[in-house]
Amino acid sequence: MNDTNSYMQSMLVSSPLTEPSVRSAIKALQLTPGSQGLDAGCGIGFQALLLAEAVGPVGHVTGLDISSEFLRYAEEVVNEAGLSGHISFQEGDVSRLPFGDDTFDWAWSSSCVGYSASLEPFSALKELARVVKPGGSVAVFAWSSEKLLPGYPVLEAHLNATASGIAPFLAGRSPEAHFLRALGWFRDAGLEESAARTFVGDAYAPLTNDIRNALVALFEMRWPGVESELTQEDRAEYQRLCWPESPEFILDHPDYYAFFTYSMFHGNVTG
Amino acid sequence: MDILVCPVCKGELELTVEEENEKEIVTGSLYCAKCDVRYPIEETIPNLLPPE
Repeated sequence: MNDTNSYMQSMLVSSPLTEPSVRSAIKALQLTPGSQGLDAGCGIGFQALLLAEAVGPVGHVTGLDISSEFLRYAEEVVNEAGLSGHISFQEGDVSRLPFGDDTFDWAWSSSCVGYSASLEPFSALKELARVVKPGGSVAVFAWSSEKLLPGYPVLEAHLNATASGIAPFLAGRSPEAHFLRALGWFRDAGLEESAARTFVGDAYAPLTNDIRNALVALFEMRWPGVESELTQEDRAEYQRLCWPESPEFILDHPDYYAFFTYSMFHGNVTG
Repeated sequence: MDILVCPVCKGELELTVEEENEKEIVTGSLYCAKCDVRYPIEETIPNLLPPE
């Protein structure tokens, strides 16, 4: 599998675990029925479906992504859901959107603006604000924390402290560019009434197959290639607890419990 | 489709349809006269990535 395919696979497999938090965040935005919005960095289109559901049959969602492979998949997902009239997709760059000023009632960006290492967050947020009408809202949403190894806080801290463990949270960039500092970008972009919200997801034993598979994928996404950075002792413990083929795989523990958070920052375009 | 503009100059685009079905345009292009850039539409998805 190439990188795009394996990323797509991870998104598919992890969605049963993450979808309730995404739904809660979209609900909290209280999108107006019949409104028209932008999903910037829409990936394989799962959230565009939930956003389209939130704005109802008269509303419309425009999904934009830089990957044509994701968009081809997203088109299929939307056609299967019978929503092709309510969701359209464009290939494009979030930092140079192909839309005029004041086009949308709202903009949503998940795991993209402020999260993707290749995208400068300040200008991307300004670009989202540009295409939203005065009084409309801009929201950025992304994974922000997790506790996945109950009973092993030291091992989990060590895994998170590796370069591959910190990578999703943009190691090496200025503190101001970190996703959790998004309130500053909203202020600098001139957005009003900015707010931060936290959404919690969890899982506990006995795990269904779907949730177990989602957590296996999550371990791989959270700590990719971590082993080379661990001490011998940590590596042995990691293999014992986090390898699906290990007889002591932590997801099969009868008392397994985990939780994670997503954070959403949102603000209104000056009216 | 009608909300799309040129990602570089934000100017209007001129649509050329090569193939369409009852629902949408399958193949075609969107042309920005000001930048002299043609953005392709393939398998119903317009590609508005700015030229590098």
